[in-house]
Amino acid sequence: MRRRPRQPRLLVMVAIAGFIVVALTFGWLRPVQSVIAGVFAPLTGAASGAGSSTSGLFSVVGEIATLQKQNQELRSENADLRQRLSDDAELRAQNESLRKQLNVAEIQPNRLVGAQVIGYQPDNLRQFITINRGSKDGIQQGMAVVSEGSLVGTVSEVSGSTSKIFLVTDPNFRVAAIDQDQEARPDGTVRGQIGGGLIMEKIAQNQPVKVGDTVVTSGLGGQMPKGIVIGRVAAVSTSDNAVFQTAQLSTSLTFSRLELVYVVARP
Amino acid sequence: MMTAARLALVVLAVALQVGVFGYIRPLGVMPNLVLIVVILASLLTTATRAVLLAIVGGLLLDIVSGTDPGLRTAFLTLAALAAVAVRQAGVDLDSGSGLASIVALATVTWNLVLLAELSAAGGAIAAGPAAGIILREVVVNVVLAALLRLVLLRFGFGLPGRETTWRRLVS
Repeated sequence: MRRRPRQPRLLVMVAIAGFIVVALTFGWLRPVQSVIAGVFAPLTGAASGAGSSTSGLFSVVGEIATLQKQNQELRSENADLRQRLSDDAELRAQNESLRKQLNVAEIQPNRLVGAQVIGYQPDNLRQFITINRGSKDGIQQGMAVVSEGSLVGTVSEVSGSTSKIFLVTDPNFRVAAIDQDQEARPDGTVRGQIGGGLIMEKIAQNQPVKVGDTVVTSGLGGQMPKGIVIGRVAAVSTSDNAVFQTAQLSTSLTFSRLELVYVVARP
Repeated sequence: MMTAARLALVVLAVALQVGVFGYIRPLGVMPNLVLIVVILASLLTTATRAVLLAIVGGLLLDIVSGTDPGLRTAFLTLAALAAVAVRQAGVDLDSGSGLASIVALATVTWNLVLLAELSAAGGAIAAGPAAGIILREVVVNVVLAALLRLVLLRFGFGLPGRETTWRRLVS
C-alpha cells in the first residue's frame, strides 16, 4: 500500500525554498552566496580540470593533421610578429622622445590579472563562465576579459574569490566596436548569438566592411578599453532597403575550451 | 539509501555539470545532469525526497550560475512535483519510454523558459540554431537518463520493491 505524500512537510519545504529565492533575488544572501561560491570553487575547479584534461586527450588524437598545418601557419605568423615588434620598438623610442619634447604625460598600460576557468554556466543558451579571481584580487564589475589576444567577455559579478564572466557569445552581450582595417573605421555594435556566433550590426551602409577585416572594441562608454580584438569579418549582409548593414564575425577562441583568461584591470 | 547520500549525489551532479560537462559536450551540448537526477529521484523515491533534492539542486545551480536567481529552483521543483503527480496518477513511468518522454518534455520546457527569458531581455535569438541545440540536448539527456537509471537501480537507490526492476533487466 502506498504511503500518502506528506503534504505539510512538502509545503514547508516549498515555502522555505521560496523565501530563499526571494532573498537571493534581493541580494540579502550575498555573503552566504560568496561563501558557497568560495566553497564550491575548488570542487568545480577540480571537475573542470578533469574535464579539460579528458577533453584534450580525446581531441588531440583526431587533430594531428590540423595541428601540423596550424604549426606551420603559426611559425610564419611568429616571424611576421617579431618583425613588427622590432618596428614597434623604434616607434616607442620615437614616441618617448616626442613626449619629452612636448611635455605630454604617458598613458599607463593596463594590468592583466591571470585567472583559471573553474566552471561554466549550466545551460546551453546562456554563456557565462566562473573564474577563480575575485574582489580580493582587484577584480571589479565591468572589467574586460581577454584570452589569446581576443575579447572573451566582461566581468558581470564579483565575490571575494570568484567572478562571473559574461561571454561575448551570450545573446544579451553588447559591445561598441569598429572595423580597424578600413580607412573610414566603420563602427557598430557586436552582440552574441545563440549557437556561439557573433554579429556586428548597425554599420552604416555608406561605410564598407570587407571579409577578413579585424573588428576591435571602440572604447565608447569608458568601461571597455579600446583596441581589444573581438574577431574577423566572415560575411557581410547588405540590403538596398535597409539603413544599416550587418557583418557576421568569426573568432579564434573556442569558448567551450577556455582554461586560462586574463582580466584587464585598471592600473 | 540515506537522504544524505542522495543529497551528495545532487551536489556531485551540480559540480559535474558546471565543471566536467563545461568541457566535455556530447553532440556539442551540455547535458542537464541535475534535471536528470531530479526526475529519476521523482520516479524512484518518495515525493518528499524528490522535492528536497530538486530544491537543493536548484538552489545550488542558481548560486553557482549567478543569473536568474530562483529560476532553476522553481523549475526543478515543478518538474519534480509534476513527475511525482504523473506517477501517482497511475501512469507507469518505470519503463524506458516513460522516462525518455518525461526527460524530453522537461528538457524542451526548460529551454523554452530560457528562450522566453532571453527574448524578454532583448537577446538575439536565431530559431534554427536554437532548435538544433534543444534537439541535441534532448537526445543527450535521454541517453544519459537511461544510463543513470540503470546505475541507480543497480546500487539500490530505488523504492522498496523497485530493486526488482534491475533483476528483471538482467535476468
